[in-house]
Amino acid sequence: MMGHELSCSAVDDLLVDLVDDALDRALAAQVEQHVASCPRCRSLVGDLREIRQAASTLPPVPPPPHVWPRLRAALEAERADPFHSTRPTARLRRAVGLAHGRPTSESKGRLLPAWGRMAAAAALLVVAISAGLWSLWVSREQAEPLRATRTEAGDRRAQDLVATVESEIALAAEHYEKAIAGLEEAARASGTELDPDVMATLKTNLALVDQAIDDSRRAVRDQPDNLVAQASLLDAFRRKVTLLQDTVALMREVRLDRSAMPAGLNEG
Amino acid sequence: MSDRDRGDDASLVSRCVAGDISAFEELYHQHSGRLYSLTLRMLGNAADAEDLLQEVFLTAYRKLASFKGASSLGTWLYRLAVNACLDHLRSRSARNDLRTDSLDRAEAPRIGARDPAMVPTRFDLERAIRQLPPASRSCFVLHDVEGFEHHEIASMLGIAVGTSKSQVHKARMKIRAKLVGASAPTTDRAGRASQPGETP
Repeated sequence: MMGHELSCSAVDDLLVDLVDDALDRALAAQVEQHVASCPRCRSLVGDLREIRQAASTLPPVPPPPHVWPRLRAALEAERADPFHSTRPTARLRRAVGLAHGRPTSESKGRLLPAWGRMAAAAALLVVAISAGLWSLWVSREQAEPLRATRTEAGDRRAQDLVATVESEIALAAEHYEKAIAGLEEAARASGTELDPDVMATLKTNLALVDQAIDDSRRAVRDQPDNLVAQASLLDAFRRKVTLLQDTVALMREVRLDRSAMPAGLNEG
Repeated sequence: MSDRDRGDDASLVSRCVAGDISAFEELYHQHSGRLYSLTLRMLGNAADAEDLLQEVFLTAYRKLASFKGASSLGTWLYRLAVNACLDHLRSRSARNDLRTDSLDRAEAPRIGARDPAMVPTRFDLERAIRQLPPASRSCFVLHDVEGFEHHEIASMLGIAVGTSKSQVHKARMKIRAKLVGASAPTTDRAGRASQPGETP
């Protein structure tokens, strides 16, 4: 190309590399020769170089003074109750003892090994659900003698109450089932594979929650006016929503970590 | 990184990990300026930048125990912030923002013939960066402000090197249009520059 006069259009195609000083010497010399003789290109290249230079020397912008007090408050809240982090992913990570599919520093030393914490997390859920179901069973047993003593008028009032409660429970169930369906879809759509151990724990926990939902639903059908049964069903729905929210958040974070950064930017 | 800096980092980190909130405040004041500048310029608005800065420091607080000192504390925090910015930009709301191109719609101030000694003021440049569309803004900030190479940006954003170059070029041209107005050329889809009135 040496010896040929470049056109403005040819220079335009080389502008980004020219401004970045990324052209080889021979080509750069040719471009500079054109730029020196062309007012339009001289103006353009000069401006772009000024912009690049000014951008590279922009000074830091201090954050507004209210950011630190807000951060400090968030830190203190987290220190006071670390298992109620504002981030569901952090909650789930702590529960299973893994971060980004790798053992955390905690899992390497201070606490239980990863499998132990996963088992512990699953066991905690089993205890919570079992306690709910036990209360439900006890309340059902206690309700039986009361049924036998009901009067006819009492039965009519009870039927009215049952209709109201059934309607409210149905609305709540519809609300939660929509939320659950959306989260399940989001988890499927993420297309991310989690660590097999984490997946196994999640599946175990989801199966337990589903079992609790089924049991509670049966109990509500049997005794629509039983407050414990109603609370148990709603609690089981809430548990499933929370677990799915955490799963979706974890999948999203794992996917971003795997795809986002070049190797050099992932190491601490 | 000097041994002294490494020692300072290690001392500060161990105090933070031990629960010393004043140590974390010191860490915050040492690094928040650079990280806030990054989040502000990458995201283009102060409210999101403040939220993200808080999230970055909360993440740092949670992960400090795993900080090994292989790089400086500043570099480690910077990586957390870059990751957080990219995460934000990939979010659904940010993807929606990608459709907006405020600078294209904005009325560029016409200041007559180009001043041959154009040196953009910091204020004007910051404002022009904020008004860039997110895709151009993130490439421009990472390349021209933060000093990443195109191949690094391509890897971070999951785009081709040519796309990074094209986005940076578009950003520079848009900033120029904003700063010098009347004589600014436009770019076609391939990122090629052309003067107003010229057939692309």
